[in-house]
Amino acid sequence: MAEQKTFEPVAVEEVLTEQDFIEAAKAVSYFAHPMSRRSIRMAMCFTGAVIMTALTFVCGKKWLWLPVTIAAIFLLSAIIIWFFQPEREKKHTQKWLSSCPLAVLPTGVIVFRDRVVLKSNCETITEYFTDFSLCVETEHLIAAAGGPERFLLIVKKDGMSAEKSERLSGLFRYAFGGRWYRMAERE
Amino acid sequence: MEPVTVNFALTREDCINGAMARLAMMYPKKRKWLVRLAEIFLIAAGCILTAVGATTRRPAFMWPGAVLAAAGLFTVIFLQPAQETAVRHMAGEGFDSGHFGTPAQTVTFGPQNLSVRSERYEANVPYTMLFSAYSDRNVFLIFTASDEWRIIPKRTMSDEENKCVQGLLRAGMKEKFKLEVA
Repeated sequence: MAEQKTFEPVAVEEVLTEQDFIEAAKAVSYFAHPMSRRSIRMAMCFTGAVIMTALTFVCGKKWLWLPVTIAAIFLLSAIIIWFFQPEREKKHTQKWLSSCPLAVLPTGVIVFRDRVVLKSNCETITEYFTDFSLCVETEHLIAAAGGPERFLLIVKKDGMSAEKSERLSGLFRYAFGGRWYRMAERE
Repeated sequence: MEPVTVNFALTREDCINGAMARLAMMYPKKRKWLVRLAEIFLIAAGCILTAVGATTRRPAFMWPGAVLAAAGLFTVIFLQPAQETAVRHMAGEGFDSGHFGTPAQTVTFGPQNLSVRSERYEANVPYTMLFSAYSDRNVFLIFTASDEWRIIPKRTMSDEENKCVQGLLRAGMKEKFKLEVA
């Protein structure tokens, strides 16, 4: 009986902001493209720099400039990635959002065990969870990526009661199974 | 202008036509001409350098010339055809795997709004809220966002309806509607 109660649909009224989209896009990208994480990219650059530094010991004086230059390029790339990647991702999301005014309309979201229905003044979208590639839950929202009609599905948890938030989370966890991830605040 | 309503089910061919229209939209004719000019320049410069190198017996001219000519020939023969083949293939695969959404749709082009009805998507969107629209010989592409687009095949409408839809889109979307003249 308790199991059945978990599958009751959850209805949410939400107005998404730019910040919500940036957070959702960041969370989804973190798990969908692990090799694109800035920590991984920086680690690759540092590895390259270390290998090049090691090569300076076997190079003659004539060719010393080559590994030193490549190591410097790797280090410079690591610095650029660390400082500019988050900004670039943020701008990409902002650019997409500016192209889609439909995404920020006040929307009623009803989450069922197998699908979600989004209803705004202009659109009614039904998306089945089997069509999505993954779902990420953060402190403030739940984001799913890969919808055929709208790529990013966002359900805000802000202002929701703990019981409702838990039911919502349970529905997504059940629907996505191994494709459900939780993102810690520090990430 | 009177509203135009079309009922259709997207076919594999429609999806391929849509993807090709999207590609043409990304590379307008001006840019295609620039690429053509660059290709001609590469081949011409390569041939001239090679010829000068051969006649004056200077290998320092011949080799870069040969590389330039080869690069030009490569872009002419492979680059654009390869890109088009890849887009066709991916669109076909996308249709087979259901990435183009529900095939059966009813689309109404009204004086102010675009209305779409399908199994999973219902919308009544003012033209001002659409990102852009594009038309070529085979399809209309309607963009609800920069990466969200719907294909409306022209085979579903008469010539008169086609002209009427173009007029409605031009009136509703102004410069956001791009018409590719065949």
